[in-house]
Amino acid sequence: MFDIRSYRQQIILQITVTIAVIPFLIPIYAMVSRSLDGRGWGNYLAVLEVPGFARFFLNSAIIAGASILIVYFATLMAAFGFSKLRVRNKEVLFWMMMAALTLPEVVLIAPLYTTAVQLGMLGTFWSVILPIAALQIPFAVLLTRGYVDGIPDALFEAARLDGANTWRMFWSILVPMAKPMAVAIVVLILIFAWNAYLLPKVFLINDDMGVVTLLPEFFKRQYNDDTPKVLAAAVITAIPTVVAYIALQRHFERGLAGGAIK
Amino acid sequence: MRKSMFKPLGALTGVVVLALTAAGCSGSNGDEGDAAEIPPAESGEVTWWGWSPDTPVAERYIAEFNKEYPDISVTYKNYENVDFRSTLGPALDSGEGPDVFGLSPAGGSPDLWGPYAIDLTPLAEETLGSDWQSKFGGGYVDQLTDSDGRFVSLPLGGMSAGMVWVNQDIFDEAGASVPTDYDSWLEACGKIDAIGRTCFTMGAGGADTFPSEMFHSIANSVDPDFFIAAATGQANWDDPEGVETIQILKNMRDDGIIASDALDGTQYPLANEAFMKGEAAMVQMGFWYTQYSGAESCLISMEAAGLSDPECFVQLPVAFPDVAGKGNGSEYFGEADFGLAINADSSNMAAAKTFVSWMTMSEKGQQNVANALDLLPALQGVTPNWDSIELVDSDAQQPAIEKLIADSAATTQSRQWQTSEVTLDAIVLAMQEVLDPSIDKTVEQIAADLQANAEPSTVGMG
Amino acid sequence: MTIVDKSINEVSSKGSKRGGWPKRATHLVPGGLRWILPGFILSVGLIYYSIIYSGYLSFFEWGGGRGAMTPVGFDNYAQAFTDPTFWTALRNTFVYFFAVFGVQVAGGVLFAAALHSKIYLSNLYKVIIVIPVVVAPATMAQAHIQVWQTDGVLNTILSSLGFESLVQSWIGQSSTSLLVITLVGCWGAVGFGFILFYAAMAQIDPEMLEAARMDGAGNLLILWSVVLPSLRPVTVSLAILNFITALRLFDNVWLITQGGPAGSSEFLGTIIYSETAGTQRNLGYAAALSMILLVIAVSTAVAIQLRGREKVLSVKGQRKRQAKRAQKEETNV
Repeated sequence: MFDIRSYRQQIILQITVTIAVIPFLIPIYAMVSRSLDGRGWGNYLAVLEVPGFARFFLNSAIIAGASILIVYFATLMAAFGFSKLRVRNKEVLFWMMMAALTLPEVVLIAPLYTTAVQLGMLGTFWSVILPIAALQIPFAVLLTRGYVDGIPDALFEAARLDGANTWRMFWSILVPMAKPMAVAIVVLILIFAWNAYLLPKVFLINDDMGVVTLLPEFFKRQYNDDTPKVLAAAVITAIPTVVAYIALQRHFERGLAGGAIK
Repeated sequence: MRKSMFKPLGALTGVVVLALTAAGCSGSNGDEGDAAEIPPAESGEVTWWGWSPDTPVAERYIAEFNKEYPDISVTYKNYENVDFRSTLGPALDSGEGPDVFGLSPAGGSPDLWGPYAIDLTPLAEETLGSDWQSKFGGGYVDQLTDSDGRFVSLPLGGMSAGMVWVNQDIFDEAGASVPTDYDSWLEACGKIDAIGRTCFTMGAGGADTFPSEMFHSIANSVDPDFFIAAATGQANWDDPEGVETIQILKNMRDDGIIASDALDGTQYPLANEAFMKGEAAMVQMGFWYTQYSGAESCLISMEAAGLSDPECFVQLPVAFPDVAGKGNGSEYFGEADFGLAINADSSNMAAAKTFVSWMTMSEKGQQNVANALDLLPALQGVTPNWDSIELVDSDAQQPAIEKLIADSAATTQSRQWQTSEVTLDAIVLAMQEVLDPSIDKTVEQIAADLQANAEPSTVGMG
Repeated sequence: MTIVDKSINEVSSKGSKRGGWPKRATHLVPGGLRWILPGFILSVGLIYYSIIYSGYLSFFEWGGGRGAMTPVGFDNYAQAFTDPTFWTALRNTFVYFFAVFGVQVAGGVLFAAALHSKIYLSNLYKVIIVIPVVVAPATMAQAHIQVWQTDGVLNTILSSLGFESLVQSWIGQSSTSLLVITLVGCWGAVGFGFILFYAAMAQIDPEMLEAARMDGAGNLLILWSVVLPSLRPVTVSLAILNFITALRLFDNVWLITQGGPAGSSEFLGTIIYSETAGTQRNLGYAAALSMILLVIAVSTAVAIQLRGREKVLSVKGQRKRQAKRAQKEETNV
């Protein structure tokens, strides 16, 4: 984005970014160093030894995966609809969706619980996956709609003239071209689902359905938390999402380099 | 609006109406008659939810229970305080709630959660006889009875507060003696500060109600009856006693008895860690802190506070110094901490009765509670079995703890039962206003605000 | 090559000649409703029950459980508007919003631009900026406390740099508690903005940047007048999201200052939480607050969106002119 012409400019950029990044490191450093207090790496060992440790990761992965799939498709479809297709009362419907973003989680618990019981979802992953998806879709649609607005209408026109139907237009034009934003959305949903605490706590009461956010609980007492171990659990929990972000970034960049946009 | 709009809206309204009606109908009020007739059973499955005790402690209790009743399997689920309230309501309403759940005297819980529980009077009478009420600690039964006279929760243990815990090792090192009034407290702090330690650590930030206990203690030394009188509306918080209490708090801040980081955080983890790390000489904690006198538990909590090679110090309970100097001392205050309630919709009623009965009314069950040194046993006459408990320094600590238990059991002043949550929050707010260096209100103003913000409780009156 | 691929190539090259900005299609394909439906039903269906339930509840006073539910008409709403804590919370919301949004856009755009350029260790920087977004607030809170507490990292740095006079109890003073919350919010927001701006920048046609550079524009000018306008949809969306977040703010506040001291850092989210999950609670009041929150959120969001749209249309006009100029120059050369 910045045109770097001279060696001097390169150095200035590099140094500026390095300094700018330091404030972000401070709390992270504080967290990691605190997690090594007391028993040091033994804290991490203690976290790994929590019974059902692997199961928690699996469950979180299931929830995150399902949420991502649902949100990905629902969002792309809805953004496509709002941006490129004709819908009666488009804006009213759009803003009805946005309103769903505004309620604090804690207010949702009681009504969602009743709904879950009515629909027989209690004790299944759906009771968590569906609310997570429902809460994320509005913002994802808001973002993606703007992004899709930026895809030239002419592309779709040309395809239509060549005889493609709406479904074809969706699959062959929209999905590939929306990739950069889709990757961003996937990352954000992953983070949200992975870090969900209240919903799983309330709805996934079975022992074998615990998620990673429940790991710190093992080290929390009524009064006296074992903070170093709690932080060790947090570090371990954060690693998969960071790795996923890097992997997705690489994937997205490879797509860019392939000249898909050009 | 176009036709296409009506369909989704119509469907939605239908769903909503259905759901609301169903929600209203679900969860019947269990037939009292039936519940009383079900006798305790020897086998079954019980689910137990609570914010207390901690999971390892609960599992110890359950293991002991299973020695006598091997065919009843009990599963305990621990919740943080606030999560418990958010989760229990919907769970009980939908009929998917636990068989046994914790129910405390605080915050009007007997009236809030009581309707979901069975009346335990028949069970208590059966097990302890017709004078069953006197077998429990003072006032515990009243505290767990709702406004309709139903006894909804069998007390598991009681709590007391108003004492201060000291790190004897620091006092010895500083050559200071444990304070008994304001002046001796200043003196002790002077010596402790001189060796680079914190004299009195306190975490009064945030929304916890711990700080109100300090307020209560100071008030008790001003006038032993004042706090409860003001809490129940028979006196005003801005009466001379109230103003004096706040003034003393201000003095403690100005004279440096209270550390300058008091508003940085809540009692846990701020004050607890400072004390457990051996940095602070004194901290005000309730009876539950006794458990850290144990040789093993003190190591665990010191490690949790961040020490890598902890060596236990000797912690001792002492009475809150008589800061008002009127010779009133400062009485302890306490009440039932919580009890176990049985869900009226439970399908494991019989097994639940056996479990609850054993935990709260049998000697063995209560002995566990006594030995844990966390709660005061609800059943009178049960004392810790010192042979099975290893303290850091038995000679110094055992007599002190025994005195603590005796004094706690003797008190008739309640802790949070007769103080409304609104009042507790107002007290914490007032304390924060006193301790915040950037707020410039006079003591009279703060007291007046406290009176305006507080809400008198009618619990336990008449 | 399929028909569709060919069309993409054709149209793309045509588009880039004209400057690459799409003309608003005058006729959209009908039948869009079924595309919107899945997302709509899921989010509206599931959440609207909660909204309607809350609306219903807001006219009652209810302690939860099987306690009595007393109808109180509009009392809860009246209580909200006459409660000074409510207004403090609103004030805090606005301060937080402007500060965090500003930092998020500035920081997010700058970092995204920098990391789209030729720079070493870009992956490392990306990870550092994004970690605040990845780690749950609940777990970072303890680390934040450690930075901001009286004997914490910040004060240590300040005194070692010679700024002794600035050392104070950041968390424990009602004058600085909001500052702490806001800065913590900024810390987490930059990464979030970065992820989105980075993706959106990929959509910018490099030819446009070239055209501007040929005009002699420097890096920062290009950023301001070419890149930023194309990021407007993301910026508008972020404004909306930030505002709603600021209204609902809960996690960071609760875990660091719990709304204190003395209610100085309360937000609507924390007030609602106390009223829902505290021991002395009025679920009806919490519901009324949620309704108020919803109305404020939606009306402000609509306002932001409308204003954002206006700017987009004017920017498009500007674009067309720019593109026409570039085209003219090409033919001239």
